[in-house]
Amino acid sequence: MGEATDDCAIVVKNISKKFGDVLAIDNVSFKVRKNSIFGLLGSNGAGKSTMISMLVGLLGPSGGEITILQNRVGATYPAILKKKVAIVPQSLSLYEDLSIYDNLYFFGNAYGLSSELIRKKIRFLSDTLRLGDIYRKVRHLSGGYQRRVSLAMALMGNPEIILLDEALVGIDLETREVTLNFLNGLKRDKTIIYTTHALEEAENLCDEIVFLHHGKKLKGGLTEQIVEEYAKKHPSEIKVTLPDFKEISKICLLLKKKGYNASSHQTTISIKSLSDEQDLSKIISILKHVANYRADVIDFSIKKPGLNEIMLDLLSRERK
Amino acid sequence: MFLSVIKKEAKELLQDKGFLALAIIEPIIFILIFGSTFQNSPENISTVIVDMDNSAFSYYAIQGINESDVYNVIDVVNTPLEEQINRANRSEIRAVIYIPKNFSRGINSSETTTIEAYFDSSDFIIYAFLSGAQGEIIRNSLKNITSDIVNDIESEKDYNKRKVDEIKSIFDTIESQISSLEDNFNESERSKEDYTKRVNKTLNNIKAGFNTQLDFFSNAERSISTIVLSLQLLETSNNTQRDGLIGGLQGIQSSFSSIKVSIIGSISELNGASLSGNLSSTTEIIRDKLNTMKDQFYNAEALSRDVNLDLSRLKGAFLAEPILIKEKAIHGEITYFDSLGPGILSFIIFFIALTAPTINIIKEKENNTLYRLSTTPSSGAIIFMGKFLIFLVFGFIEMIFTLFLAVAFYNMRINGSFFATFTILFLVACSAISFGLFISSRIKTIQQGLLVIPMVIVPFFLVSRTFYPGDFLPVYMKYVSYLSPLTFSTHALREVMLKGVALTSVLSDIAVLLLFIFIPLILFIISYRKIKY
Repeated sequence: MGEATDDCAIVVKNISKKFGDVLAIDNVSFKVRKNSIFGLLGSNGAGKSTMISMLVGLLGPSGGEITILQNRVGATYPAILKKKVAIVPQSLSLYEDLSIYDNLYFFGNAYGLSSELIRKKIRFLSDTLRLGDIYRKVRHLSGGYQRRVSLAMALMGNPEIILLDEALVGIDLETREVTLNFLNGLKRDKTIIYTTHALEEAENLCDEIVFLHHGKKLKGGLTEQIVEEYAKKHPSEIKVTLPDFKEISKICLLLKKKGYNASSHQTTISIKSLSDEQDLSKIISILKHVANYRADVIDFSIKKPGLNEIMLDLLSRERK
Repeated sequence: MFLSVIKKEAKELLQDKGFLALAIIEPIIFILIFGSTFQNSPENISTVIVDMDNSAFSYYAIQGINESDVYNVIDVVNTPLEEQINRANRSEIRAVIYIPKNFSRGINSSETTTIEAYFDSSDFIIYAFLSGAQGEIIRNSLKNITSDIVNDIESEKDYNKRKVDEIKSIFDTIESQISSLEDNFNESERSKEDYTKRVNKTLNNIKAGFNTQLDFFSNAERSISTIVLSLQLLETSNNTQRDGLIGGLQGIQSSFSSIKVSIIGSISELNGASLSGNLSSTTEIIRDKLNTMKDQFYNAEALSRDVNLDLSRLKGAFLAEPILIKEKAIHGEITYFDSLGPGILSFIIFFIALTAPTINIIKEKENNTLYRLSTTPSSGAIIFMGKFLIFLVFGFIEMIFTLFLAVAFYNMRINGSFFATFTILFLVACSAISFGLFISSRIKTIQQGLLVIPMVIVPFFLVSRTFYPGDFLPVYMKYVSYLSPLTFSTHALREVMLKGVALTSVLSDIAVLLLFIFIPLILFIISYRKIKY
């Protein structure tokens, strides 16, 4: 792991964190590029929240170095970073008896903004995150809206780095769409660290990822690269569903003869393929050849190996 | 389902180890504090006696006050009363008992004499006990005075009784000596020399017996005079009985005088008697006189039995009224409500001002808002200063409201200035907020908070001397009570509200209250840095 450079928002080097005899983080290193979304992935108890707490200065590391925006974080957390790093915690952490406006205004003050700027920001965030009537009490909002308010609170201070600690857990589809779009937009001028165990979501969102398990780093790097490398060694699964199963065994047999790893279940044929795009045209021509089912194919899908598979594979290897 | 609910609730309760620990500790603390505080019966209230009479009777009165368990006489002075009243004002002493200059003169002249008792009325319980025990002063004082007088009479009476028995035996001896003399006379012819010796010896013995009798009767006369004088001093509710007694005693005295005359006559007859003279007639005369004396003596004895010196009845009559205690409440007549007022006000303000910030911060901890806030550039000091101030305003409003209700609806006494009262209560609110902040930094859940708040407030209140004066606390509990800010606020408020003193007179209380603001605040700042989210 190299030293901090200008294009790095965060550099974590050989970080450890102990709680008594329990080693919560064990010699973990990674870099987070500026203006990217970085995924801190792992199942529950992996050490994601501990890492986040160290990144916001609520916990000091037991060993190693953390550099955030060229500032070294040790036993004390540089005050300047409090303006530049904001967190959206896993719990909602809102003042339920206050209105959306009051919550945002209070946090605007906490970030030291002027009243005028606060009002301006509230208007902007309210529109962007579609908060609706901002004078409603938080207590009366749905879970999804409360999540949006929580995100808006973190953005009040215009931070350079936003830490989202499982911040999209249990939200509705609309909020998820609004939030993900918003985060993708934020990437232009902000660095986002996103912890989750929802790996599909992370795959779509994160530019880079680190897999943590029991405080250890299992794997890290560019998301695309990790997935591609894995895909090279692990086949995609092509699934074709037909209206009846009269011809299924015939097609399956033919595919097997052609050297494909095919199997059938009811009216669906599954084909494992390392080179799905190349194989796809061949499979289609076989289908055409056996029977004219092209028009009658009910479902057709290619499932490439993703972070879920990668994670499971890593865990199984770790267990071994 | 019913069993499931029970099971689930039990499991939840058992999960919160902090709650369980508090649930065990709390009753122990409450009972310990309660038992230790309200243990002693009210006694030994510090008292100063101003003795302006400085007489034997005032000494007996002081002894009487000393004998009471309620009064602990720490000083007997004969300096001006004002000085001691000022000491009571400063709560150095609780009672001043003033024995005026004319105290003994009043008793001697059979007039009702007055002792003045000045009691600190700022504490109702103390006042009630002091006031209730004043009868004891009178009883003890009079008991001592009458004992002094009556004990003399009793000892004289016993002495006389013994002497009466002695005189009876002397009569018998004289009588046998006279018989012996007569026998010797008849034998005179047989041995003249021997006869002379024996007659002279017998005559001397008879004279000695008469002289002993003479001494006794002289003593008895003096003794009766003493009793009569003592009885004349006793001013009782029933003087007829006393006068009858004196008359009887004087009758005995006169009998004894007559006996004395007879004895002197007999001795003179014996002096004139000689062996060669008319000894036989002398013997006859003496025997006659002896018989007369015996008659007179037995008459006197019978008279003394009739006199029936019933001293216990006399004592009872004497104890009825000659001393009066004039009670004065130093701070006026104060009701129990007034006396409790300062402590209750302190408690209400402390309770509200402690609960509000404690619950607020624990709630913030539970909601994680404090955690989130701590990631912002705002410093913890600013956040908690803001909280402190708003709760102070809240406490102040509560204070005004509470005071208004107490004064408007129940006419709570405030003899001193409202400003002084406000200032002290304001300090109580500040102290409560400091304690609240400190407690909240150590507690994780509202459930724990709801146990810890009473665990702090109830002992503070119990030892604050609101219900139970510090004078009666065991020594170690006095020290424990100094750990409660309510002890100092209650004292300061009593001084201001009941005694009407200025704020400058309670500066020591104010200084301690300031400590009770800053110490928990410093502890809070230290523990806030260690808060685990």
